[in-house]
Amino acid sequence: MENNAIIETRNLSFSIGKTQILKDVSLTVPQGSFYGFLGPNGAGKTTLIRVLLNLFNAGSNKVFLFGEDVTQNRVKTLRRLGRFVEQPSLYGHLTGAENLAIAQRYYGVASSRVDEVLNLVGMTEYRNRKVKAYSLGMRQRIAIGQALIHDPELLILDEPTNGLDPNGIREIRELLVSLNKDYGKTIFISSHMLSEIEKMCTHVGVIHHGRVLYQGVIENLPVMAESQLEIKVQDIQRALTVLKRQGMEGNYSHNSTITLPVENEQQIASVNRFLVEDGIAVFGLTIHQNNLEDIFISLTNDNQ
Amino acid sequence: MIKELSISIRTEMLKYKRTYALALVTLAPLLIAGMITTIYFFKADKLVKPGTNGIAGMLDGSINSSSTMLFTFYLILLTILIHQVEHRAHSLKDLLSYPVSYFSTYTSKWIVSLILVGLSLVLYIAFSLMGIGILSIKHPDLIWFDAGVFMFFVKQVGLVSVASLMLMGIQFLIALRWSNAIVAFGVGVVGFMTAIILLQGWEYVHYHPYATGVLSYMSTIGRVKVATSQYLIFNIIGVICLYIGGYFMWCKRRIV
Repeated sequence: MENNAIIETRNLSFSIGKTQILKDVSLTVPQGSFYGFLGPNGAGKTTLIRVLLNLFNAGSNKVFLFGEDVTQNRVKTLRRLGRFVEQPSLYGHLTGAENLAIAQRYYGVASSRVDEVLNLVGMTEYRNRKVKAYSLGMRQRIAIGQALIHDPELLILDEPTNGLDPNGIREIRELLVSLNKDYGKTIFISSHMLSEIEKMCTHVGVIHHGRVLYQGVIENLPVMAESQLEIKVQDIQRALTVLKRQGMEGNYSHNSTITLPVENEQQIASVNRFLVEDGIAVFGLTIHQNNLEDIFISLTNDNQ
Repeated sequence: MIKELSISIRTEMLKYKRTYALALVTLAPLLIAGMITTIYFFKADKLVKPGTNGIAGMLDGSINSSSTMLFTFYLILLTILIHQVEHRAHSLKDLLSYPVSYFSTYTSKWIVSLILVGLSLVLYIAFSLMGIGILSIKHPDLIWFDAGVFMFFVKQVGLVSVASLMLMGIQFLIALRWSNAIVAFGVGVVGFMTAIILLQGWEYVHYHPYATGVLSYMSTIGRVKVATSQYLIFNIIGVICLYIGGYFMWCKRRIV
């Protein structure tokens, strides 16, 4: 096991009935990371989170939290993490403060934490309003508050921004980024919203049909490191020949444009120099960086 | 473990604040005692022979209707309402991912359910006593407090409750397992109806958990020859078995 892994699964497979949901999943989440767990609906994200929380028992020596086997140390490991699974599960007849008080009692922390957490998630004003009168965004905040009530080292969040409006998504994102950067919390967040993961996470794991296709730091994603340079020139054929002579394989795109994979800015400067020195008029150079969406589609299509 | 269980019980109690379950616990005994009191308030002169104390007839009327039907349906409804608090919030997944042992979360639910039933019975006895007080003022020559009769009534309430423990346990587990209230209600109604039919003469009806409540009441007034203790022992053993079986179900449960 990696020394600093806060979550680790080892060749984890899990079935519900005859359907195999997780296939040989080996996941490593480093301490202090903001880990985005990406996958389309039905890929196995929620099942994995339920296995991590021991809501589904996958057997011993498969899932380790804080270096300890979850099935052997259920209560001990659960005490050190906060969780949000799928949707806010709150008691509608109770107020927001009372819902937090339930979590506060189960975690055995001081009742003053309720007010602190209400303040942290921006719900102090609505503390005495019944949850059934809350908007979805307010419920999400209280549910995230429940996860934070005991100041855990690790947060496991299953699609916490689901159903929120753009403002709500931004606020939750800022809160989570601050928890990770300012308070050193490790955050494991599942989502199918690629743009969100891209904005928040330091690490990413991609799951599809129950298999992990990639995991690691975002920048090291195979296609992420690679950008496409779009070169607009006067004479396409000559430009392609010049680039080929320099060992670069460009593709004719459209509108007198050549696309060329590049890895860094130096390479872009060299391309420009080669073309200009050969007397080719360069009208424009545009860098198109692959975003997570491109990568995700590329990875999942490769594994269809 | 005791500390953890005590925290679980206190937390569980908080969940029932402002719920229908808590309303039922207070209103059901008030309704039954209130109705009997109202009947005797207006009709005592027709129901009680002059010169006799109507308290025995009044309390017997109350426990008779309660034990034969109302208490059964009360337990069916109460166990459903208790577990609906969790089912409606979809919070079982949260409950089982708190750092609390399965034993504490499960046992606290049993204990809180028993506390609610116990509270209801205490209120039933208290409201009945209040009814006697009101009637003894309105009809001092027909109804007056008799400690012996009242204690016999309290004993009957206790016996019927213990003899209904297995019924409560069955309903408790079904309502816990299935979030659809219709399932628990349907099983309860079927259990009650079969009990009523089998009471007409089936020789093994004494082992029907939905019949033992009313049978224990009947035994206290001599209408059944089987000793009351048999119903009590049967129910206590039965509910312990249900508790243990339910615990394994709780530990193995997959929250989908």
